[in-house]
Amino acid sequence: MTEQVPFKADQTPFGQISFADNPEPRCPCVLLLDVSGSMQGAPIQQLNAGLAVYRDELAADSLAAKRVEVAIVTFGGSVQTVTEFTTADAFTAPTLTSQGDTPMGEAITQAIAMVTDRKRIYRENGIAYYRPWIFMLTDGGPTDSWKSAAEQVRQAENAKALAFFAVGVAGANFDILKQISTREPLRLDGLRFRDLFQWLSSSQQSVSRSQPGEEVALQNPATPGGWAKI
Amino acid sequence: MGQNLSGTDWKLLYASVTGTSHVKAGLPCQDFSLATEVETAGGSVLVAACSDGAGSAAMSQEGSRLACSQFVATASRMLTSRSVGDCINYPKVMEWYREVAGALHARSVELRCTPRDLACTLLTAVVGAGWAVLAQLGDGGIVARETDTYELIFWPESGEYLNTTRFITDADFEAHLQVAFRGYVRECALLSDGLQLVALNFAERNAHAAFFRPFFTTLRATADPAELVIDLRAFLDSASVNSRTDDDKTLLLATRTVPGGGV
Repeated sequence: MTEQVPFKADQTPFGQISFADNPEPRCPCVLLLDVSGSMQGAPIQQLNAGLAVYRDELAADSLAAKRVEVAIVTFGGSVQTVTEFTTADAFTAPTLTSQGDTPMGEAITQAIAMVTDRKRIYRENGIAYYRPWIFMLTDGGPTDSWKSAAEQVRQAENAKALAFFAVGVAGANFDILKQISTREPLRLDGLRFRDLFQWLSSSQQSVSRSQPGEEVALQNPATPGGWAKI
Repeated sequence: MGQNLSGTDWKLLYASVTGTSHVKAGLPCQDFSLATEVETAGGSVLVAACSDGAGSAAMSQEGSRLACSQFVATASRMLTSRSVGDCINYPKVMEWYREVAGALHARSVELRCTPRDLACTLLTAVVGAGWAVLAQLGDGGIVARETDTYELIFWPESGEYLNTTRFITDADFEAHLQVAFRGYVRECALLSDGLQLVALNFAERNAHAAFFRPFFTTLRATADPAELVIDLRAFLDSASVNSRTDDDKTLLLATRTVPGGGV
């Protein structure tokens, strides 16, 4: 389908100008969410509420809704892809439940593989894209082996293949998070998942419309009143 | 700015319009474009330039304006001061771009800022009778027609990601300058990256001919291109264009005055 633009329909100085039918550029993001047993109760409820806010805010931005692609991978007992990459306008927030241990290493490896594969699909289909994000949230530490996952994150960050963010809820093992994430892990203030996801959504809205040469300056969430502490 | 849009051999039409995101953020239009016809010993030569100032650079509107005017001045001077044939080679084009980069650096000293604050792309077309030198640094596009096809000369130079590209103010710009030579170019267009999504076909990596053809058909048929400037600006600022991009956008068109664009 090619869009015909009736330019000044009654005078048409340039006639019918047709627009190339290119797909929107994509801004992929994997939400890597800890749903282990310790998240039970208020944390998982607040996480679910935060996801709903995230969905609503992205969908309300017409450009971001078509450009931001979300995938959700959870780790709790096992690693599961709850949502495959989908544009924000087609994304529905899942209701997550908590169980089991914390296979974080495996989850990170899977998220990196998904991002790599997604970029290949973009390239094969002539879709322009922005640097992918992996955004990990946890209230604990890995119960599986994580060193090779950390090495993969480090290599991918060095190659600018993706941007990895880690946010720890109370109880998270920051010693290990610091060894995994090349960016300083952030500490969630209480259970302010809602504020966190509002920030994530607005950051991705900025990235999804950024122009060449524009390093998007993310709003610092660790300012007084913000949802995070370093 | 007074535009001399019809010379002896070419009809010219160009405009740059502020993107909606720039309007919202109170930023100026950071795109610029300029074209002229230079009379040389070897006949009339078209010199055209288009530049997109980096959104992240504080004074890139100054950079894009200077890049275009300096390129046109430099190329015009060299085309008239020696035999035209001496200009149709890669080292000469590099010399033009170096002079532009030098002017940007000098300007940054005057403005007490860094060259990065003037960061901009530069796309240029120098077209004579039977020869054309097309050069591009950064993203955007150059489209030229020799026979029937609207050919995209280079796929926009950018990094892996959409929001990364090259600028003439980069210390290593020479490694990224793309230069191409063509024969008898009848028509050509320069566009900034704001129009890439509507004017280029990303899957096939070529020009979307149905975007360019109506513009050239109209420009060929018009007696006075200056009368089309308002219409071009209205198109660039139309709802249909703005729904596809919120960036600044520039379109520069040149067609030979010979009927049919010299077909």
